[in-house]
Amino acid sequence: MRRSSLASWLWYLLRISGAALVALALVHLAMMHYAHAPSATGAAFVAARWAHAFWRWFDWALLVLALVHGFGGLYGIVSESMRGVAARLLRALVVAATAVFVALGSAAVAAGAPAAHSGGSTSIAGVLAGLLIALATLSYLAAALAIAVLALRVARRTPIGRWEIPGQWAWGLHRLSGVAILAFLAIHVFDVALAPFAPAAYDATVAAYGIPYLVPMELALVGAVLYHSLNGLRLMLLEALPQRAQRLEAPLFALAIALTLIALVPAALVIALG
Amino acid sequence: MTITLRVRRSDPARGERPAWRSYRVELRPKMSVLDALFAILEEQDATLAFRYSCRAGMCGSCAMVIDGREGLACQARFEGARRSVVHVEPLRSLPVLRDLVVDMGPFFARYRAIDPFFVGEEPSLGQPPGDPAVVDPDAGVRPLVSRQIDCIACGACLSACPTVAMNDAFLGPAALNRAFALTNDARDRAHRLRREAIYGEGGVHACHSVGNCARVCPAGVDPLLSIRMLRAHAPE
Ligand code: HEM
Ligand code: HEM
Ligand code: SF4
Ligand code: FES
Repeated sequence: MRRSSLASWLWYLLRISGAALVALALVHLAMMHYAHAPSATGAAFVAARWAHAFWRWFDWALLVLALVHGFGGLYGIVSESMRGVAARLLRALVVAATAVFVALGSAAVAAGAPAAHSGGSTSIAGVLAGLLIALATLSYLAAALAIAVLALRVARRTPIGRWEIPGQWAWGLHRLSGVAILAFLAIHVFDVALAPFAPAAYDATVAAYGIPYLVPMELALVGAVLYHSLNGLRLMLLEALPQRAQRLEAPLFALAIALTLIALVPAALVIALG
Repeated sequence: MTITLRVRRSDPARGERPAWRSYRVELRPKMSVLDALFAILEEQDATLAFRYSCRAGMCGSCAMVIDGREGLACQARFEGARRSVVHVEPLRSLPVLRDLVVDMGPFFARYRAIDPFFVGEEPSLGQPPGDPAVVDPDAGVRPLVSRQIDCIACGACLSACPTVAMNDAFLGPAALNRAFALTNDARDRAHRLRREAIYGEGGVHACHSVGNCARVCPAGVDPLLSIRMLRAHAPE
């Protein structure tokens, strides 16, 4: 009997959870970014939604699947690219973080609709808003650096190597978007947990989504979710059509990028008008 | 017309770090990158190291990274090149011995991990061997495999693969492609043996389906197709 490898387990896990996430994550995004502006999702909004058992189960399924999928992906990245003590330590950290976030998020949905607006020190909100600003600053700096490196290469006419090939971009963006969504999700589970336990603090955090400095990151996040979902679907489709995959992979990548950009327009309008 | 060849040179044994060195080369009709390297060797710099053998795109010895993309130096021509500067680097993810010469050891170690040879029926004493090759021409496996057995073991796909660059356990495109080709041989007796490697830590599920391998392969092999076929069906 053959022993199943970690690589095989993760491969199936990421595809099964990814397929389930397509519907959940896109519906969530539609509610929060198209039907409403992110800054209009205060404690009262959550209370109204969580009054329905359906949305609580929905949010819980999204929570567990997104955390298992996202941290599972991170576990895979650590396993393939690191060796030795550092790798073992990081893997243990990933498993622990998954458990902590699942517990915190589950406690929040279980507690359900927030009571009247009371309690909650707004200093927690300050910390969370600070984390969002730090995440935004990090992504802006990373984007600027990547563009600078690429521009320098092109200007000095040194080859950009593997980045000449579309598949390389599809993969690079898939990994980048996956890790970025996971980083946001970690902060997000904290801030949503404030809604039942400290509604005033929650409202203060949600107000932070209105800060203009954060708007580019919010749009990038929507783009990341859209692209990562579409490209995940693309990978699964190509897997089902192995003999046509080489011909289809580049056009389908272009399609994923085009659809992402098109879908970003209404999201930008909602933020701008909301 | 002259062209500038920028060559990534290094000599790890003598502690020389990689650096670009420029050479001006007079273009001749139908000149290949390998021809240009010879011109440098003979007329400008006798210390330039590179590897070649057949000069006909058949042996795979001269694979290197030309203008950022893996290819065979003996097959890459300057004709029609848009740029007057061409960059030449050694293959990636393999230890550089000197200049454009890499150690192919890690490439063949991966190859060996999947038992890259045909394993036939155990001959029994006193029995004349039967017909060794009964493959029905209409079996339908041949069209898929015939393209995948053209590998010349040049190492281009290994160099182009970002997963190989990160994951030292990953067997890589060429080895997994070879495993698939053998899997399709109904006479082979080592399918079960190979499954250990094919679905192990460095096997087909470690691949992220980037597809650079198929884009750079000078022999027209599509290693990702083989990897996907192995993910869909385990060899019996
Ligand atoms: C900036 C964009 C987003 C906004 C404004 C937003 C807003 C909200 C709100 C208001 C809730 C409270 C529950 C509800 O009303 O249904 C919630 C819950 C949740 N969101 Fe988001 N969301 C955003 C993006 C995301 C993304 C990208 C993910 C990742 C997959 C995500 C995952 C979740 C999960 C798992 C919950 C449930 C949390 C828990 O049970 O503790 N959200 N979100
Ligand atoms: C919405 C639907 C989604 C689909 C269809 C999807 C699909 C996939 C697939 C197929 C992979 C494997 C890629 C590979 O083998 O290289 C993957 C990896 C990954 N996903 Fe998702 N995913 C989705 C949502 C998410 C979300 C919400 C997160 C963040 C919480 C996330 C984070 C990651 C990470 C970190 C990886 C590992 C990236 C890598 O190894 O390069 N994904 N996803
Ligand atoms: S599959 Fe193609 S690129 Fe890879 S070693 Fe064989 S011939 Fe070279
Ligand atoms: S020298 Fe043999 S392939 Fe180029």
